[in-house]
Amino acid sequence: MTAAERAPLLQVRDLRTYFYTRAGVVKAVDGVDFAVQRGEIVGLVGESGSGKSNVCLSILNLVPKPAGRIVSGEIVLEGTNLLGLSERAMRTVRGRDVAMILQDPLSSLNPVFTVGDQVGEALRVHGRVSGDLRERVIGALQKVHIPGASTRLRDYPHQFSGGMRQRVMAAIAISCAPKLLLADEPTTALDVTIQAQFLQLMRELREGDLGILYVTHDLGVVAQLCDRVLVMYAGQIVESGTVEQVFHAPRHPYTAALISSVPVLGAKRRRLYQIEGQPPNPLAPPAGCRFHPRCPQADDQCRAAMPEPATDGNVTYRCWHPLNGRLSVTP
Amino acid sequence: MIRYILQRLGQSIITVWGISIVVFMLARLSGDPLLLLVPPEATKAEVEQIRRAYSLDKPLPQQYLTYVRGVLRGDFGTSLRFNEPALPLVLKRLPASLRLASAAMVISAGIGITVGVLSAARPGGWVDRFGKAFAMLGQSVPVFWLGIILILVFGVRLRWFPTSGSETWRHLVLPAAALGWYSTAAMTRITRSAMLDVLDADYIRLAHIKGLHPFKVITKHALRNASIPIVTLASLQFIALINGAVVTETIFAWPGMGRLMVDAVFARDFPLVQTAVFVASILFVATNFAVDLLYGYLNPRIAYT
Amino acid sequence: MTQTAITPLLEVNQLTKRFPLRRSLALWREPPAVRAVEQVSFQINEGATYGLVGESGSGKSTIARLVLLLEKPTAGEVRFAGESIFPMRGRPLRAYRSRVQAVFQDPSSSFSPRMRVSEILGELPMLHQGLRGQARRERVSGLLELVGLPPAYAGRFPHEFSGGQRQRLAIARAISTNPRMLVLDEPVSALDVSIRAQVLNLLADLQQQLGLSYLLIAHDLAIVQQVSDMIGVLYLGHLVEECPSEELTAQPLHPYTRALLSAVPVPDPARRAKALPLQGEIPSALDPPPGCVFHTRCPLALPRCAAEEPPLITVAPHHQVACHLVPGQVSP
Repeated sequence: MTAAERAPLLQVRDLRTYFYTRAGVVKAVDGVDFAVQRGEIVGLVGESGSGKSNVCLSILNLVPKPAGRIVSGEIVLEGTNLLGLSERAMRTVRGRDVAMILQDPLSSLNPVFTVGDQVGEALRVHGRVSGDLRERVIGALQKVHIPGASTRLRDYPHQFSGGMRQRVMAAIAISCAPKLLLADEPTTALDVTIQAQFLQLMRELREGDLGILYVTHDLGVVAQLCDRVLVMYAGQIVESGTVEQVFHAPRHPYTAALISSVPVLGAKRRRLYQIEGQPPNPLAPPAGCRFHPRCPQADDQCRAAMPEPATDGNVTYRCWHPLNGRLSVTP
Repeated sequence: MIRYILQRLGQSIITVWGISIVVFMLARLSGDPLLLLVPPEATKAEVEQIRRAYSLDKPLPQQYLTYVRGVLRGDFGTSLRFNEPALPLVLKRLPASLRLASAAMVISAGIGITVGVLSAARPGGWVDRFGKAFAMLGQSVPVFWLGIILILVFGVRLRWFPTSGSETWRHLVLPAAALGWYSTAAMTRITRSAMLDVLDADYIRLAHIKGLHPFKVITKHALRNASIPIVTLASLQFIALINGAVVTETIFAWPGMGRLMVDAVFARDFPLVQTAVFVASILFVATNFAVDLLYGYLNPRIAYT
Repeated sequence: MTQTAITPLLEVNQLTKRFPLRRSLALWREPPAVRAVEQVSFQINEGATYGLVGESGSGKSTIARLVLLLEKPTAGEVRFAGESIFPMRGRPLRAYRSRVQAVFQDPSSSFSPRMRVSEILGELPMLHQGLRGQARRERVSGLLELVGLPPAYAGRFPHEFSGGQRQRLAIARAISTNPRMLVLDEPVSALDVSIRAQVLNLLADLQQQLGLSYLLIAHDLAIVQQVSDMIGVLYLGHLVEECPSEELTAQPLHPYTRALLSAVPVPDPARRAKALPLQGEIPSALDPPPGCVFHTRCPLALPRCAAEEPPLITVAPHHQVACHLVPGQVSP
């Protein structure tokens, strides 16, 4: 095994993506470090505005211009720093090495082209057609379990149901056999039983060497699907570790509060634990620890200085006063 | 798809029938048409005689039937001014009008769509700023002034193009440019705004994610989706260019339908006006039918529902 | 005991709603119709919460719209405090509208952007109770306080609020007419996870303080179970099971209820789902399956299920289910 093969599939270091707006600078992603291994599903959880979608767009170098800019950092895919590539070279990475599934399958498929055309597009662009393109497209559709794939090539997106459209999105993503798949809230628009089917598909797809970065706000999906989890708050990863460690013994009060505030099916009816306050204003995030205005145990240190990532060997967290033990948030 | 075409065809036929009623009624509502036919010094008995000759003493439904029967035979009445059948008079002018309108359309769609797409691709860029100025100029400069300037510069001074007549394609250039400029501005603006809407869509993001070249993203994924409002405007402009080219036709001595119609109105030549209106309406319906078919092709959702 | 104590606050009887599609030229044929709600009956008691769950196309939102008189029913009736609501006109109708208010999913689209909070919250008290001037101002600050917003916010515009605060505002407007019941249509699904608990707790507090009844429509089973007293499970316009909230997870009987429960991703990696809950997708409401509407996806379906529609039968106090396999042999 060479060093490149032992290295993670994707290594992101100190990524900072800022938006320069008229009202000021929004630090959407502000110093993010993480890795994705081959065959691993990493969950990226956070609320709206936490910066999780911008992490994905940064990896593809598709942050909306001209306001958005990647200010610093490294995004290393199998030894290559993607941020050092020319736009032309980056285009060959997009769709071929790194693919992405978007949230809303209806608006993400072009209404005026057939499904077959759209699934085959990346294959054509990247010249990955060995043999018959049609066969490759049918193969991709079959891999995501679209019934009657060969007869549905000439159908348009509006002729598919919501769950099937998201499968088409998945077929587009895997058509060129990518190494890394970014999934940005792919089941948010789906019903629960259809979501369960889609999660099953994700598990199948990673059976090979595919690494998946799965963005979601749903802790349930993370617990059911992912190997590791990254918890994002206000542009930073505040906690990361395996799902077992993070769900059973979270160190960051935000993670603990988030887990406690979610109603659990079958639990006794009770007053839900609630996180006070509102998510921070992205234009003017709080000084010190970004969670301190909403944290029940914040003190002067938290208000004054931003905690750097620390690790206990299992879990990495950004907190001056990490929790010890099970989900104990003391108000 | 076939069902969609038949549906649209049926609707078009019903529209034409409706138009025939409206055109027929207009002539009756705007006063006793007989008064236009008889000389002012005619006696009562003479008037009644002419009334019977034109079957104007019959009840309205019967008159309408007579009129429809005539129309179906291609008989639209006789022009009062020229004393010739009205339809051939109009049809003789039609090819020149179509030629001028088509040329103007090619100019305005060619320039308008190109500038609009480039403006939307880089909002605030130099093409966008130039396009805006161009559009403003196009919509604020009167056609007659533009026409005269074109004649002076390219006809009189540079002698590149003839200034009047309609024999060759070189005769077409100046009037088409004068006529097309105004609608170029409109085409630019609608293309720009339609493209800006579409470029914001998720499927455009997905096209970039797939690794497509930005040029391909715009020409394949964006333009096709932005085409519906553009085609709609273009069809309306085309109709307007056919019928509304009076000033251009006058300046460049172009033998089109616009002048024929205006002259007929001033001469109170009602049969000719009626015929011209009817032919123009048919053109309108035909254009709309063609556009509907185009919609069905451009956006499959329309044809399937 | 008085008569009112026995009558439930809201009674839905055999409610049916079909949306006919455009007629084709074939006038002799019955025009196709979307069967959104088919003979649904349930009751909501004073001060209680009734949760309706189901996936898209289940008809839950249509029921909410019917109760809010935003749609006319095809058949069936809804009684509020004993009075049938669909024939209401004039004064009783206005009274009903002020007694039953609604909170919808998207709080940003339900306010006029040019109205200040004081106008938004003062509008209905002025209309229904004739409150003006100082009394109206006091009412507005009282409402803001009730939903946990500072009374000083009365002069602000809706766009100055965050999503969670806007939903609090929507709740304040809903209770501004002193209603007895709120229809909550996906009240927290557009909100961030950390805000959902705040709003759900607020709703629970208001229910206690004001004695409100809730009709809760939501797709998130865990939330519905956490908040409701009774739960109705809808599939393709049919009520397939109804039971007290605690029994939903303890004793689900209908195969669809079970599938739905097992499809919910539990936020605990130690409790990972083993098998896929359901194959296939919900059929079209234009052409629902004959017999039991669920038989096309049911893992336990018998030949009888495709032929005969199962009636809703009572299997335990307050527990009803529509399945040929119940009682008894439902366990696989």
